[in-house]
Amino acid sequence: MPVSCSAKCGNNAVLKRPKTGDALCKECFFWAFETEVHSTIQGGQLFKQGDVVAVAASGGKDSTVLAYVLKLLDERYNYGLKLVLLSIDEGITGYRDDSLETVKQNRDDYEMPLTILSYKELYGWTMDEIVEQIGRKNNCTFCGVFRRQALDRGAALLSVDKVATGHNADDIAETVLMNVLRGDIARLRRCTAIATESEGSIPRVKPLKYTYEKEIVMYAYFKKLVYFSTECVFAPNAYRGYARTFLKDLEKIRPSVIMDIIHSGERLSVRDNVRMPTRITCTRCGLVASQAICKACTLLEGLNRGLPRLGIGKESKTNRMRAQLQSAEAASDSAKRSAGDEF
Amino acid sequence: MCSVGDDGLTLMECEESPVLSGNTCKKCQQENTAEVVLRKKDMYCKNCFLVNATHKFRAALGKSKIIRQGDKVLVAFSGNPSSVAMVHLINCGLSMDTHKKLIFDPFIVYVDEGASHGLSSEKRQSMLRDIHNLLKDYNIPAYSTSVDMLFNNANNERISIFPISNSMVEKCGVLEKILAEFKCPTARQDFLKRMRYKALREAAALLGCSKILTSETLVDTASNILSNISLGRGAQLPYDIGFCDSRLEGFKVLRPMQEYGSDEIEYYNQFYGLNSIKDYNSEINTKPTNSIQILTKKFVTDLQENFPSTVFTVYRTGAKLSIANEDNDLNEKCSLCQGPLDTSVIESSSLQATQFSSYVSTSGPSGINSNVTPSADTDTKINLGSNEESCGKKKCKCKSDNTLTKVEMIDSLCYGCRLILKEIGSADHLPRFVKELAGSSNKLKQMRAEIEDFLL
Ligand SMILES: [Zn+2]
Ligand SMILES: [Zn+2]
Ligand SMILES: [Zn+2]
Ligand SMILES: [Zn+2]
Repeated sequence: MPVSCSAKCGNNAVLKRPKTGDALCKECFFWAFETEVHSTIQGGQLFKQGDVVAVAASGGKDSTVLAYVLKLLDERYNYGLKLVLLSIDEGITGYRDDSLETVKQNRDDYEMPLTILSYKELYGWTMDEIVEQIGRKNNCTFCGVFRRQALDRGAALLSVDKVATGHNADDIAETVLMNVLRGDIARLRRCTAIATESEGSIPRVKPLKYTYEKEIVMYAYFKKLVYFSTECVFAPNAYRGYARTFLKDLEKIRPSVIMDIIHSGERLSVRDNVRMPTRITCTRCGLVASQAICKACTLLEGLNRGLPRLGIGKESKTNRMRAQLQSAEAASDSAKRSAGDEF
Repeated sequence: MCSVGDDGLTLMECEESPVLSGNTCKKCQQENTAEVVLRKKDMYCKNCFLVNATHKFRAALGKSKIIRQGDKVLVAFSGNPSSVAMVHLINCGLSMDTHKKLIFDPFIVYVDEGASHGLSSEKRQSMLRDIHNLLKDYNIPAYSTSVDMLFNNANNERISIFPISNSMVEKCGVLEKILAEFKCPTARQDFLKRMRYKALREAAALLGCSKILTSETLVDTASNILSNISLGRGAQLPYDIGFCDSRLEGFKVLRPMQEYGSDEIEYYNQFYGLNSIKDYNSEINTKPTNSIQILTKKFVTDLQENFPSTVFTVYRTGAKLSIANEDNDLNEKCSLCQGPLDTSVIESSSLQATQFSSYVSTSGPSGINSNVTPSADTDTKINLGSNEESCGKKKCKCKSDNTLTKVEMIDSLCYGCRLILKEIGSADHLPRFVKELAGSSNKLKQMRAEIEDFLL
């Protein structure tokens, strides 16, 4: 028996919204989806007239839908934005090759300029080369840390005003759970923010923050947007994996759990006496960091010195390794010097 | 795509099994004495283990300095292993004649929740006998009460307590009615948990106790942290899972067993030959896919098995949280759980986004003027699920006094309790205290609206 559209437009519904349980026809769903993203953008004051906005484009569903809907809303509501695409090529054989093709397709379809920056260009290493050095156990650490900086570096290079990422509601809820599991109170407090702005870096915004992943898929499906869907070949073997599976199970029991977790995250507050890591800028690359030398620079140093495990694990361990390195160098320097003295 | 993203990553290290180096106790270093392996790696001899287990309890109560000499303290007892250990620890503490002696006045209370879980009167009666047996060696006054009484009109919905030796099961139909209205076990369990706490507080008032001890363990606490976050109760987390719940003036609920692992409790009870019974939650063998609470408990139990340090991390994360100061000059509390209200609609918030979603889904493009910037002001009432129906028609006497409708009640509930309300057909069967609190909260709001223009 056909169900009629909850929006009382007279059409038959074609889908049930995972977020609210309402049955909608295609047109009313498009409209609801877009109007909600618009509401998120307006409510969070994500953009200003004239902003140059880089859409972090991976070729995946989130960024494809984000680019599409931002272009559409910019035209519909006259945001006055200049939208560009920014892609990072990690250099993972068989992963990015295809997804970069999708990004190029986005570029042509949405008529937005595209910049692709590779890890090789930015750091001197491809992910494939890094995996060769460190094996598969810690590669997601590298990939994640490098990607964060790659976007900052790329955004600075393109001199944009904002970076828009495709994080959806599921991602945010998952991150809340993950930060509880690993006890990262600072990130737990930050992770539900719709815009991150810290000194010295370009603000990042998440217009899809309240959009369900399933609705993004539905939107792409009914709009026939092409996207690339392959999980990273190096699947994360860590807290996020646990948090993701857990969240999926929770969602089966109560679909609103995603918004409920975000609500919890937004209203959490941290005791005054809990020490928070101070955010400073890295002495090497000048980007935001919680230590004097940022994680990316530390990992890079490890790679370049042939000690790829430097920077993996606790900060104290890294400091210890670095101190050992320095004293070893000092010893060999003084050995050289004293050797030189003899001549 | 890989969404590891920008948040960095640490690996979850799998704890390795201990290298059995001649069974040396970690504490006293005596070889070949260890009988206890905790967290799958730390080995202790029986004596060191028991000394430590006892010390931990005193330390938990001592460092907070909340319990003072001569305080009357209600000790919640469900008969499950951790409550059995807690009562034993208290009893030992009372009988010590050193400076370590505990100095408060305990009253044990068992809350009969059989009706909440659909148990027969016979089963409930036999559980009462079991509870009585578990406690008979202690010289501590023990009572029972039951959650049903909160719903019993005849009783004026006040609970009474009975000495455990002489307790009888009473049946009340109203609780069954309201439980039948719940469509999913998640909301039902959350509701029942609030009711259990309410019963304990009422019992405490009857006994003149200002403190209540409950026996949540480390796994319980970590599970509660994760499930409460999933139930939208982040703002109240410190009350629900912290060491001290001070949501109501004049009462404090303390949780001294939070740092005990299940393995510790097991060894403790085993060494002292203490019996326990399965409590209601383990009694009901629900499938893990049924409710958020049970799924979470299973998730945490699995973590405990494979990554015990992660369970402790979750607990410590919870301990770093505090109650937010909502911008709320009346300092309003939720009428159901009495936690702080976390429902002020802020621009760009999950609550606003959810309300906006149900609004646009039902109004459609023609229903609202798309040029109007949608904002928090948009009148978007939360979707209350199934249509409201009062059971007054169904020849049931519960539609008495000034019962509020669900819509009238919603504003006085916190986010988490709204999810409970959403599940029930009408507000009629809610216990009287909820209706009364909601009623007075509505009156306050009306008064406030009248004088609003003159408030600075
Ligand atoms: Zn429609
Ligand atoms: Zn750096
Ligand atoms: Zn020992
Ligand atoms: Zn509440």
